[in-house]
Order: sequence, then structure tokens, then C-alpha cells
Amino acid sequence: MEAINKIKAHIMSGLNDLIQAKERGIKIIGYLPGGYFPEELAIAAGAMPVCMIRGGNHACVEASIAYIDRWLDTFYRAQIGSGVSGTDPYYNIIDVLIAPITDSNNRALSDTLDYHTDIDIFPFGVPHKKEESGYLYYLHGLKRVKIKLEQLTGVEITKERLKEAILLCNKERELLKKISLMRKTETVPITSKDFVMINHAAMIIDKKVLIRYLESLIQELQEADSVNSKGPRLLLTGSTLAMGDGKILDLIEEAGGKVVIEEFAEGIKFYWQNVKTTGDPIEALAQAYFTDRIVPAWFRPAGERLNHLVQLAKDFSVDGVIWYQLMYRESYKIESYYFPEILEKETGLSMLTLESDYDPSEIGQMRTRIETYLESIRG
Amino acid sequence: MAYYHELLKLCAFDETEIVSQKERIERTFQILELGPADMEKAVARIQKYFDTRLMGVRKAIGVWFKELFDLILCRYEGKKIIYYGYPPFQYIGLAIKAAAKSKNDFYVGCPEAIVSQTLGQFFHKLVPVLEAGEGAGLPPGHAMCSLLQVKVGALEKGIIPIPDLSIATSYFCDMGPKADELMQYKYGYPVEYIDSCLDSPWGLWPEYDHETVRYLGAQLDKLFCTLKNMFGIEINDYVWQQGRLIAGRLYKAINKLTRYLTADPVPLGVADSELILNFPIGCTGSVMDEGAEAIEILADEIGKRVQKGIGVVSKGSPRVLIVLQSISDPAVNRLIEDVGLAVPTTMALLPPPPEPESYPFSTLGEKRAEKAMFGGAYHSTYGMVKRIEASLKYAHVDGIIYNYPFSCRPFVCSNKLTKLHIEKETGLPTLLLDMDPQDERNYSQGSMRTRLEAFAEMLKQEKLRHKKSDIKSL
Ligand code: SF4
Repeated sequence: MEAINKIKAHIMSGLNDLIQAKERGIKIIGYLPGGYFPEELAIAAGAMPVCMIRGGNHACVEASIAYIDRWLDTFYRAQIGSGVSGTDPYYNIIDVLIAPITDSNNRALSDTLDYHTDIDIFPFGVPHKKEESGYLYYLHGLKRVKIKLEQLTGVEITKERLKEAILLCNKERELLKKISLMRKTETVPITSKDFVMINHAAMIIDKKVLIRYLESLIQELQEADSVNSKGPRLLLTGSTLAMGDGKILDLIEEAGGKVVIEEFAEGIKFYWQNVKTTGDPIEALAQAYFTDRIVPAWFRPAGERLNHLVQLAKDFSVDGVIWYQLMYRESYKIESYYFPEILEKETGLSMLTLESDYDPSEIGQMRTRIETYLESIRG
Repeated sequence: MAYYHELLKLCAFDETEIVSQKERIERTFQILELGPADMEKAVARIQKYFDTRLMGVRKAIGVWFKELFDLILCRYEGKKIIYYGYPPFQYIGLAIKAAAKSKNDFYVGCPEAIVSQTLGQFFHKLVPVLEAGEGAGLPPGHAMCSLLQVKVGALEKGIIPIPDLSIATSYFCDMGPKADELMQYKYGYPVEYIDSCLDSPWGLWPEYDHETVRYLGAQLDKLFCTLKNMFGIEINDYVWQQGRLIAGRLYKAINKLTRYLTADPVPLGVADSELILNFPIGCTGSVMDEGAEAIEILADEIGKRVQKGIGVVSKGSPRVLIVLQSISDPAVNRLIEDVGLAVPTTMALLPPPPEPESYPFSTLGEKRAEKAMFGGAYHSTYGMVKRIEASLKYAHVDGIIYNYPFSCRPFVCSNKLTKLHIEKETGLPTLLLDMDPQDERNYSQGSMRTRLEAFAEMLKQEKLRHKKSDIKSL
């Protein structure tokens, strides 16, 4: 598919685009994944947002050992390894790293980078409960981020500019949603690998360019045949699906499975709802990014996410669920213990839990487990 | 004579207590499946690892048993049960006690601390509880907090009652509230998550963002509302002060004892001083009067040792600050002295640094939240590190053994930074030592001893070098 190829090529040249933008005086705003930093704020400040979503490299995990214990989430250890060692060009190019603090794992990244590097880190807390006081604290955090970005870029983030950015991001969300929903039917026109790739692209490449590509992609998909129509339909969920951590999707595909829907707070941009374009735009952002979105597992409690998973499993008519999480992400680990019972009760489906430390030696065992699971689904 | 008689006598129970409490004692041991052989084992362990020549130590152990009886039997005794997570928000449990109409209305405590302390430390029978926790959602091999495994395991085995309310430490740790969520799913008890965000940037402490205090304050105020709605008890400024007063005697006694601990030679061992660490953190019952009394007696006994120059290691031994002690394994607590290091203080016993001026917050929750911010740990990693650094001024130590629970995320995410920062700012050599205060299966005493010996040797050489240079300069 031409649009897919173009997006891939654009991702490959993404770093160059950032370098060129920086040379033109445009500020590069790095941010941590998880969906709690509204890119709209960076866009409204005339800057380029880029999510630090690359992962999957075991060498980076190993490089982190000098700075942090191994008993933390793999993705964040990998980020520490690449960020502190200075080997990741994205960390070297950003002007600030916006760090929505969600749990101990990403707090460790924020603190460690702050201590060991010259990167300008801007942490702001995400409450773990959806209550009025939590909403207000998150809103306060967004206002602090706004001021920080205005100081950095010298651009005032006016209501008009913010509204414009919201409209742009809404467009991107709508297109992603439209593409994703195409997988509800029996004929699935796009592989999960490609969908994940375009979703990752939405976190790192220029929105206007991506929107053009997504529009062409939708046209192409409407005329496309189904991909791999025979395999069991799967929901893939878990903690983090980083760019570069493609082995899980490869293994599922190789075993004949077909992921038709993904749910990851880190690694899949939330595209189900738009930000309101009426009222105060920063409040609208807080409403959408904090109150309206589905919570990650580190919320207290996080039953809303589990209900969402059940609903996705029903809506996308899946035959099974694969829970792919990274080592030592405690909130997800605990949920993975009791969710299968809920899933079974609500849908009759079973679940396979897999864990990764980005270690290539895991692949053999993972492959066997996936094959066995798919066999059991096929009956 | 009852099969537990010798044990309880060793733990300074008097005859009348043993007789009058017979039913409670036997019911508790029955629920915990502890028989005569376990009593013998406990007697041997207590004699081996604790300084039972000291009446204060024996009484302190006895108080732990009383807390255990109260915990195990609270449902049968018709109390309303409130558990709080570890570490608790200081004085919350006592404020609830103070607000209650009668002292016996509520059981309030941190069950995992009491179970670890007693089943682990004295009976050496914590592993089956840990295994039950592992099988109930906190599996091994995933760096799951062993303290929470104890809580989940104890609920799973039915040895502690299902509470009426659990107060989760959502302001400090992610695993605690998530484990509560798991238990809520399994047992359906309500959980009040006191949430906060440890999002202050590196370098901010002791300053803080007022909104952070307001958020944590709103969470505390909400808890007070829940307590009122569920139990009809009112927590206000006055009640809070009353709660503090309940602990007044205990803290006074602890302060007296900790002053003696700073003597050279250090007069009390790590295993013995551990007995008091979790008194104010884990319990709100017998410890407040009988625990205080035990520590007063211990302080007097220790005071005499100080006068006579008696210590658990020789005078002039290198002195180290440790972060915490094992709450289940006295053998590992004794290792530090075994390698010739003196422990005059622990992180929990460090005096708080002077507090900056308070902001006039309006609600009780906000006022308490501000205090917590000053404490550092609820502020940020930087706040915690600076708080330790500031308190070290009063510790007079030659080094730090930063022994941290490897499965406690708040520690794990900050230990290497803490070491770097403290060494840079204070010049004190710091040994990072991963351990597990509840699960002895997660460390080897042999390798721990090797690392401690090497560190002790280095500190001794360092001391010697300083001594020589002092002589030269004379
Ligand atoms: S992980 Fe640490 S802070 Fe959390 S409950 Fe366990 S010991 Fe306490």
C-alpha cells in the first residue's frame, strides 16, 4: 500500500526532519508516552512534539544497569540506558522532556535523566483517581506545561492557537479511529503491524503530513482485500508497545494469528474520543486527556480499563486475548492475575499472558506459547 | 502448664495475664496453627537472637504478641476493622482511635507488619504465608513486594480478618494500592485510596507546589468524610491532636532510647532495636501504653550500659547508619554487628530536620499533607534524599549501609541516585545492599556477609588512616 510505504519512509526520515526543524529555530518537545501529554500544547506553541516511544532494544536495558536497579519496568530501563548514555539521537535533539509522572517506573526515568544528563526535564503529576480534585490537579499541571512551553518557544499559546491545534489533532484521532474500526468486520484490510506503525507515526511525525497520508490510506483500504483472513482474531493488550518492539506482532503473525485490536496506554495513542472544541480549550484538554480517556492499569482502581477490554473483545469479535507486558510493571502484573476470570465470565474467552525484558532469548519460548494458545483457540 | 507458658513468660507476660487471656491466646495460636513445637522453636529463637537479659526487650516482644492477639481476634471480638497500608500516613490510625467513642470500638493497624514481625521474627513461619500471597496474585520472580505478599497471603489463608475498610498508601507506592484493588476484587471490602503525585522536580525540596498539597489534602479530607459516613466518627483538628497525644508517651520513650543508642560503644544490637521500629508504624493498640512502658524500661537498662561503657561492639568501631532492619529475620539483623560495625541509628529514627514556615492551609487534610511534604518521602525522590542528607548532620556516622527492600519500587527507583548524591554531598561511603525484610528466600546470608565484611574492612582502614593523620598533626 502506497500510503503505508510513505508513512514508513517518513518515520525513517523523522530524525532528519527534526534536525532540519531545529535548524530553522523550531523547538523540539520530547514527551513520555502514556497519553497524558496533549501534543496540542506543543503544536500551539509552534513547536514539534516527539514521543520517546522507541524501545525493544536489549542493549539499552543492559546500559541502564549502571544507573538503576533491574527491578523496574523494562521500557523505562531501556529509556534510561539510551537517554543517559547519549546514544539515542532523539534524546540529544529535544529541547525539553515533558514527563507526565504516572508511576514509580516513569518517575525513575525522569529523576535519573534529570540527575545524569543536561536534558531539561519538566515533570508534572498525573493523579491516579478520576475525581474532581484529581482533575483539578491535572489541569494545574497542564497550565504549568503551557507556561513552560511559552517560555521555551517565546510563543503565546492563545485560545485560538490551541483550538486550531485541537482541531488538527482531532482530525488525526478521527482518521486513526476510522482505520481501526475497519477491523471490526470479518474482512480485515490492515495488519496490526501496519496499524501500530501508523499509530506510532502519530506520535513522532508532523501531523499535517500524516493526516494527508491517512486520508489516502483510508481510500486504499476501502478497496483492499482482507489480510490473513483465516487466523483467529485477537485482542492484544498490555503495558507498553514500543516502536521497535515488534517481535510480539511478528510471532503472532507467524503463528497464524490476527490481531484486530490493540490496547496499550503506552504505545497506542488513544483515538477513541475527540477533544471538545467548545469552551475553554485547556479545560477541554484536561477533560479529554484525564477524565474521558480510558485509564491505564496504574489507576486506583482501574476497573474501567478492564471493562473497556471486555467491550473491545466483544465489539471486535475476537477469539482470544494476548496480554503482553514488560517485566516488573507491577500494576499490569497484578491485573493479569485476575482479569482472565472477568474475561472468561463476560465473554467466555481465555487469555495468554506473555512478559518481555526485551531479551532476544525469550523469543523461542514466546513462540511456543503463542502457537499453543492459538492451537487451543482453533480447537 | 500450657504449651505456650514458657514462651509467654520469656516475653514478660505475668502469670495472671497468661491465665486470664488463656482463651484468646489459645484461639490465636489455633488460627495460626501454632503448636507446642512452634513454641519451643520460638523460645530458642528469641533466646538466640535477642538480648533477653534486658527486661525491656522481653517486654517489647511480649507487646508484639499482644498486638498479634488483637489483630487475629478483632473480628471475633466485634470490632470494626480498618487496615492501613505501609508506610502509613502518620497518626491516621491514632486519630481514628481518638475519634472512636470507646477504645475498643475499632481495630486499626497494619496487619502485614504485625504478621511479619511475629510469625517471621519469632516463629520463623512466614514462608507459608508468603507462598499463599504468591499464589493469590503476587507471584514470585516479579519483584512483588513481600510485605504485600504477607498481607494478601494472610487474608488468603484466613488468618487475618477481612477488614471493613482499607486505607491504601496511594501517595507513595503503586504496588500497595494495586494489591488492595486485587483484594477488593477477591473479598469485596471497600478501599479508600489516598492519592498524591510525587512529581516535584529535582532540586525543589523543601519548597513545594501548593497545589500538590491541596490535592493530597483533598484526598485526606475525603477519607475523613468516608470515615464519618461509614462509622460515624469525626476527625478534626482536636481529634487529631488527641491522636498524637495517645502516641506521646511512646515517642518520648523512643526518643530517650535513641539518644542512648548514639553512645560509643553502641549499647543495643540491631535485632533488639528493630523491635521498636514498627511499634508506631504498624500498630495502634497495646504498643501505646505497654509498648511505651517496655521502651522506658529498655531505655533505663541501656542508660546503665552507657554509664558502664558496655556495648554490643567494641568502642571506636566504625559507625553506620542503616536504612531499615529485617522485620522477619533477626539473624540477618545481627550480621552488621557480627562484622564489627556499630549501628547508632536507622533512617526511621533520624530526627526530622527543622521545618520551613507553614503556609496557612485551611483544611485539616491540607495541613497534614503539608507536613508530609516537609518529610520528603511524599514530596519526591529529591525530597527524600535531601531529608536524609539534612538529618545525617545529627547522626555522627562513618558510613551508610543503604539496605533497601529490592521489591519496594519507591526504593528501587531512587537508590542509586541516593547513593551518588549522599556520597557527593556528605563524603560518607555508602554501601547499596539489596535485601528483603520479609522474605529470607530472596537473599543469601553468606553473600550478604561477604559484602558487609568488605565494607566494614574499608571503614576500619579509613578510621585507622584518620587516626594516624590525627596523631601526625598533634
Ligand atoms: S512496595 Fe514498598 S512502599 Fe509499597 S507497600 Fe511494599 S514496602 Fe510499602
